[in-house]
Amino acid sequence: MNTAVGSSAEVPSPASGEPEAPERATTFEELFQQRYEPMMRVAFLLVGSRAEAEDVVQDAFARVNLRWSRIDNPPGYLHRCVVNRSHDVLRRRRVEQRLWWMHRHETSELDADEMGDALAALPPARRTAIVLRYYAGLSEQQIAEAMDVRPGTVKSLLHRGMAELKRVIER
Amino acid sequence: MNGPSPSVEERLRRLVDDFTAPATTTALRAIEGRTQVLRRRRRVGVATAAGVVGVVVAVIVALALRNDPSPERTVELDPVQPPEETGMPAFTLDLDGWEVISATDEHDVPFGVAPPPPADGSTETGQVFHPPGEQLPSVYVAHSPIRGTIGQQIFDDPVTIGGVNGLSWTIGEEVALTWNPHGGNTTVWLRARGLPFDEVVEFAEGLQPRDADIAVPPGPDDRFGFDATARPAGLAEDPVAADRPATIDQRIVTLSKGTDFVWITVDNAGQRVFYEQLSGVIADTWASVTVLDRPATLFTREFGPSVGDLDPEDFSMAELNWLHTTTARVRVEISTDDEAEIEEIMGGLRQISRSSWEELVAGAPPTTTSTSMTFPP
Repeated sequence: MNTAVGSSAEVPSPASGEPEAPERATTFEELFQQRYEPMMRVAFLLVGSRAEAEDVVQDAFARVNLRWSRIDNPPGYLHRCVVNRSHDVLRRRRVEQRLWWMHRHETSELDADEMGDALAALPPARRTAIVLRYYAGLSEQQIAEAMDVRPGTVKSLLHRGMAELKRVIER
Repeated sequence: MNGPSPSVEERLRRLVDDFTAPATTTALRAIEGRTQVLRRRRRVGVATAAGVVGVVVAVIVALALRNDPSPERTVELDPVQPPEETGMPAFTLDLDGWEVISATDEHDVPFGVAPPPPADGSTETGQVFHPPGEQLPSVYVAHSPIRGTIGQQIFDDPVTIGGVNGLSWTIGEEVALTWNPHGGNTTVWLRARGLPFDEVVEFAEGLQPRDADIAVPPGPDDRFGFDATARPAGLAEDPVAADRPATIDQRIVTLSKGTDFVWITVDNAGQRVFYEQLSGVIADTWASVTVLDRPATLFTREFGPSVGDLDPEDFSMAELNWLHTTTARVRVEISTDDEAEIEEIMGGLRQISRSSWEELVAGAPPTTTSTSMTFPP
């Protein structure tokens, strides 16, 4: 099988599932037009719910908007906000699910697919690294910046995450 | 050494193949609204922001007016509005200074995954108890086939329900209990609000199974649910519908007044979803209120933990929830937890006619935009 999943310390390079922005956005509205839907897809893969993805992404854009004149790298900051807010959602959901598991019925839109199941079962950090690498096509350095961790940590998260996805991927 | 694994990307893409989320003006408006909320919170600690907010408000008002040929976006109010045959009512705020900045109808919105019918024919149940005409105090009881072993967590306390070991968790005015009756073959989750711990346990002790024996897996004749024999005074069972939709229709109106925002969302998710969602909320404060002659819950909670340099305590918001009809649930999100403002907003909520709602939607911005916007720093 032509795969390096879980079998190597090296993580394969992604073929981005998300086209890069055609050019650097010079206004907030340009950034919104270029990145809203791609960010919605990333957030959906992270939180597994359209409604919550919308909440995450709109909040992230609002934070970028708020700091537009002071941000050197708006797309990078946007990624970071999406990741942070997605983790907030997953944290809150974990607590709420402990108290009330039926809430999951509204937050499991990814579960219809086996890969969705496997993705949803990953710890948030591994899930985020996998999605940013293999769907959004970010480099390890970009992922490290988005997740506020060291590049070495990203490599570890990807390696472990892929190892956990191996069962699904090899089918 | 293995090579790259294209199937990973392919499988991830497949998960979002049908997922579309175009960059619409509606989304942009929502982002503007959130930006204003964030900006307002920051203003508390940043004196120089005051002038900036004024400029932004002016931009938003100008945009609202530019998208509406009529500068007077008045709405004909129908205080006494009979339920419409569609079952989807519409609302707005009838208060001085509040402007409608967005009104949209959305149809067939995916609403999570409706639980599949159990292959074994069994059914899970959700039961709700509250005083007639009020939403609090309340107890919600979910009964389902066994969902795995209950593991004690750091904040849990052991509790015994009907001779069965279980766990409890108390957060503010909320008490949660879980245990595995039927010899461990089923799981009960119970959420109570506004009741003391001892009364909640007494209530749980009084739950008599409708079926004494439930197998694993459950059979078609197994019946879930309980008869509550030890209800606290005033609590009555409110029969909960069984259905849970896979898609919903919803209408959302966004209003602003200065830097305050209100989002009113109406959908047809129905009674079961209404109670299920409320039972899953963790909030800081709870209150039972009456809105438009309906019993409603009012809760406040943090908008979300901080990102960047914003403090989490700056994000408290209020939320009103009520069932307007058996299928129409209403959620009103308010960008403040100031009691006086919330009370004023509650008093200003009005149901409007279908034609008035259609006027609002028609006056809202188009779904695509060619405008160029810049925002002050």
